[in-house]
Amino acid sequence: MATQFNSETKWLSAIRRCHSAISRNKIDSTLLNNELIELTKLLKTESISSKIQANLQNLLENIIINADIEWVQNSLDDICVKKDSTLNQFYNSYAPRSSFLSLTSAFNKLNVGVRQHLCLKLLEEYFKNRRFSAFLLEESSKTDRKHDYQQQTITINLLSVINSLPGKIANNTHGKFSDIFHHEQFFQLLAVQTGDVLVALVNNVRKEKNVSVAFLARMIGQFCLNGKADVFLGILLPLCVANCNTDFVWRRIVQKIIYSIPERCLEPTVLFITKSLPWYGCMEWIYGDLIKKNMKFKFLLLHKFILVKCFPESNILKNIIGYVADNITTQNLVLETLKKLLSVWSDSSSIKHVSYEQHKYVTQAILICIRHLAKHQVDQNQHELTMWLAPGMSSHLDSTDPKIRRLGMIAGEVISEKANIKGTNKLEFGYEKDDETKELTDLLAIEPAPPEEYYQSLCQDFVTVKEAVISVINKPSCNIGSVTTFTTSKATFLEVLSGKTSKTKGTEGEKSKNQEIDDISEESSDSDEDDDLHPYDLSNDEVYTKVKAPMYIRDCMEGLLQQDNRDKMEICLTSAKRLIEEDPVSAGEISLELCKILLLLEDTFALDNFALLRISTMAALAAVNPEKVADYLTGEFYADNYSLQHRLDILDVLTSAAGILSATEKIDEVKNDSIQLKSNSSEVEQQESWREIVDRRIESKTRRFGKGKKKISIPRENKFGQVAGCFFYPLISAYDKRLKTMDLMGNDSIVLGRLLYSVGTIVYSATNTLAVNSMATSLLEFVIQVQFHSEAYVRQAALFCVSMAVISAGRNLVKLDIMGEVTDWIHETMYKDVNTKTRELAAQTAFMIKNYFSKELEVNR
Amino acid sequence: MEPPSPLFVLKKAAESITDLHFWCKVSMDGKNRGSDQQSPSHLIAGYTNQGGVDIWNLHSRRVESHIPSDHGIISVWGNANGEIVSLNREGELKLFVISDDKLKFKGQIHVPNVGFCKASCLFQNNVILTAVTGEEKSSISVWNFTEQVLLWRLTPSENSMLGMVMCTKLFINDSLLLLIGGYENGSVSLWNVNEEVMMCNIALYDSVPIMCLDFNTATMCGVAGSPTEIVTKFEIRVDDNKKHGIHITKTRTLPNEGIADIKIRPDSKIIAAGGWHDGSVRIFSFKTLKPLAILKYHDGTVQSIAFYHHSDSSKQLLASGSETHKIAVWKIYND
Repeated sequence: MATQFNSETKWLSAIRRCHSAISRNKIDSTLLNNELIELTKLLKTESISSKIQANLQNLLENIIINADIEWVQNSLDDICVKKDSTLNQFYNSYAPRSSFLSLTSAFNKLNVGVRQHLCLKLLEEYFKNRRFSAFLLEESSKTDRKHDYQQQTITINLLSVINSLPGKIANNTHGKFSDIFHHEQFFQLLAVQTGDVLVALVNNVRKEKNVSVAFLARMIGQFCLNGKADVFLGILLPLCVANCNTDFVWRRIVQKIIYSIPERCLEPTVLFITKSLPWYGCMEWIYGDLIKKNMKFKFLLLHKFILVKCFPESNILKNIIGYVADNITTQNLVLETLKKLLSVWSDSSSIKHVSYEQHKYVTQAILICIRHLAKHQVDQNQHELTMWLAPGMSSHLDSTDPKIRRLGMIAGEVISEKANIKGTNKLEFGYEKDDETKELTDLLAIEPAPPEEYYQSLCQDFVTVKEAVISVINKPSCNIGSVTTFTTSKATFLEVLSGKTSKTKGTEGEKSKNQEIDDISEESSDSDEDDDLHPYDLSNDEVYTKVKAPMYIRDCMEGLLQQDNRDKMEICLTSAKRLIEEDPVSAGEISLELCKILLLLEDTFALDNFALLRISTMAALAAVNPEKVADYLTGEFYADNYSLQHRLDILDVLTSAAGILSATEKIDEVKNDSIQLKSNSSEVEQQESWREIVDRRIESKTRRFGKGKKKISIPRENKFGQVAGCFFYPLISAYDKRLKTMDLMGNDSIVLGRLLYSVGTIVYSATNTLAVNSMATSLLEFVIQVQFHSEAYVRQAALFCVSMAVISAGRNLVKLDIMGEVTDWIHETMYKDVNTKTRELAAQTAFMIKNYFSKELEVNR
Repeated sequence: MEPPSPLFVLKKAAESITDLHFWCKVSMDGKNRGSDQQSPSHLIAGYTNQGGVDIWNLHSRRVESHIPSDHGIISVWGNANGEIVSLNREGELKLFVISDDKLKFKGQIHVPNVGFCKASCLFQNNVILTAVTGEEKSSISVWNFTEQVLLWRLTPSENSMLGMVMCTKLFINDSLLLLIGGYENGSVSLWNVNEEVMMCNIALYDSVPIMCLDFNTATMCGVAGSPTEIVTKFEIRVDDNKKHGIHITKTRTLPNEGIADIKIRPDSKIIAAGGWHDGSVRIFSFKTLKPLAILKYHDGTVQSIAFYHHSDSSKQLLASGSETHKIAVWKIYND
């Protein structure tokens, strides 16, 4: 007691002398320095009570704020040049936490100037001299006092000070500050120093010392909450993963930190860690059995990250589900999650109202769950799985989006395969395979653990990052290059195994490329060119066909009727369009008959391009004899006894025929044959003036380079004008009529959507004709009928129609009431539609209408 | 440049032509029957069904002799001694001699398992060596046909799975009597006939039969055709250990499938291939397999091709015989 009192008096007197030295400093600058040296000595010998602590902090603030400006300048010069000053020495021996607090609070009170510069320099030295590590270590040696709320508030304040330091410095100094206080670099520096602290803590544990990670956990959580996870944990996490691989003490410490992270910071921290772990096995090392202890954590992993949120990378799903399935005690959670997922997946309303990305995410989660499902779990729940499958499949296959249908097919195949032990009812679909399907089916493969070298390379990465950070600290000037090295090393961490495999692939690829080159060189040494025999005309080499191509369209029609002769059918179908175009008169005579045959033609021989040829031929027919053919086809569109495909084909034919008919110019390559033309008219020549003759001679002697053939467009009459009505009105005449084989307003929304697209195109083809105004108005009326359709596809088609109507009829629509109604609807769709693509389209349409009308109105004025 | 038309066309019987062979007959007394000593005098043609064998005189362009047969002829061959060999569907390999315009039957042997395999003949030391199918499924027998003695049996090991013998070619290289056999499984084998040893086997096609092959001893290269659209050129190389090996050197893909017959012109400049479906005769450069001409005359499968070689290249001829009863004779790349 007596010694404590004794030391307190010593402190108090020293502090008092120091204060007075500050005020008298103007006279003698060495005085303050001497007092500071005195204080530094005291720090080494005497203990500090909390009262003295507060006094000391005040003193330090006082020195920086009130000391003589000359002394401040001298100290700053000392630090900058000699890297040392009495003030700095004092700080180096003073408690790291208090130093930090006094410096930051002083900094807050200062404006731009020498004093602020000094303060900043001291802070810089603080971080350079690893005082921050010392500070963390000091905090870790304190025992955990859970219920000390005062302490907790102080900690929270302290953390927010650290967190906001780069921002404050940037603001208060007006951008003139050292590189280490740049946002990213600052947190990288903190991460590196925290890494060192972790290593020290592990050593302490090995020495059986008590260690508290409460402060560290709070700090990490706080940083993640403030969006620094990428920078901070991006450096720290690889170090942890690499060490946890083999070291159980590390695992223990890391798990303890994660356990102690405050709940409010849990989500961003867990999200970052889960997203960036390279393999699901690592999850266990970091999280331990937190999922059993912490309900919030369980909720985040198994509900929020899977069902509520949606991430572009599937890594997060792999990690979560792998982690849960890996442990026998939590294995049943996989099944539980799968059931939840399946209920969402199979719900037709969710398919309709959720974005494609989200639905794909759910499908990915299902695939991963199924892969991790144990056999006994499948056996017990076989019935339930198949029960979900049936409604799920039907609601997917009903979708108008082919990508959703494909997702359904992939998931259906996988579920049915897993659920059927006997293998009798396995579903199989024929869908187009591309990168996305590969990405999905790849999820079913078992991920191998990364090799040992990978972890070693992670350790190495941390060392290189650390070196880079240190080099930045020691360099006075800004170094952007080093920033990029951090990001690349981080990238290597995230790339994980895939990077390794791509490397091997790369070498393989090179090899095959080399081989290719070899092959080519071999080929060229023995190529066709050095053959001394000259070939004859090889154009008579044609692909053999048994039947000859028909010469007349009537022959062609007969050939199409021969349902049992493949070759005949193929050649007739391929030559039909050419024959129709060559002889439109005779094609016109039999157009209706031929159109009937083509419409009902079945692809019995699976010919190449059958659908395309059939439709383009029918379109050519409709262009030859539009009235009759359009009349027939539009009638058949609403007739019974056609399949939906037939009706879609009819729409395609009408649309492309409208396009052919309305093409107003035909671009032909015309040779520059003016000379030839003129030589024919020799009689006229005599009457021509001498000037023309001279011009022509000059022209004929002049050689022109680089002009090529001229493209001359020949204007053509828009033939669509007279017949547009035959195409348009019958098509929208009976859309609300319910047929036995088609329910346009009900289930067959895909036909309705296509119908809308077709009539939109037809109206567009009728641009500049007399009929277009009334057609556009009718089109808008039609749109009003379907504007709140439940299928996004139909709503998108309706938007398309609106834009077509506006482009074609333009100003004539401005004054119509119905236009106002339509615009209201578009604005509403723009903000409220559930489908992202529809919203985008609506926004585009609204923008287009506005532009178009404003242009029109300007012209009117 | 337009490809040439046939020099002339021969047609007699209403039967398909199965095999052709240019024949320079020198009579026993050493006097050539033809007016021009240098040009080929005759063309031997084998027909299907009861068509028998016709010997066409190329100057009068008429049939000079006819050998009747009860069964369709598969292959024909003739040598300067006036000897003619024919093989029919029943496996009767017959030897005739024409002397003083009289046809004499000299002898016959029975060939088992004939299938599609034509006989390959070689006239050596006044002896006709003939390779035909043997007793077992994939085996080949080589006969001294002049004396009708069976000399060698070329039987592959039991588990070789070669299938039927489709075509053979006998030749002599480096005083070794060799034979290349093409089999049903798409592979070809090189045999050392005297020792009855298979020296190597290589698959030219993947499980489609070899339909035809020809080999040129001067360049040690050969070609083969199959029902597919690919023509394959191969080479026989002897490595440092004196081991023979067959190597594929080039392939060429045609627009139409199926090659019924393929022949190399003895001057090793060009190849002619008879098309299965399109009735065309395709000419390729032998060196590079570059397509040189497509000769269109026939309207059915070109089942047989024959070349006539002459030291004066302007006298070289090509004959093609089709399913639709016509033989066309062409002159092409004669300079």
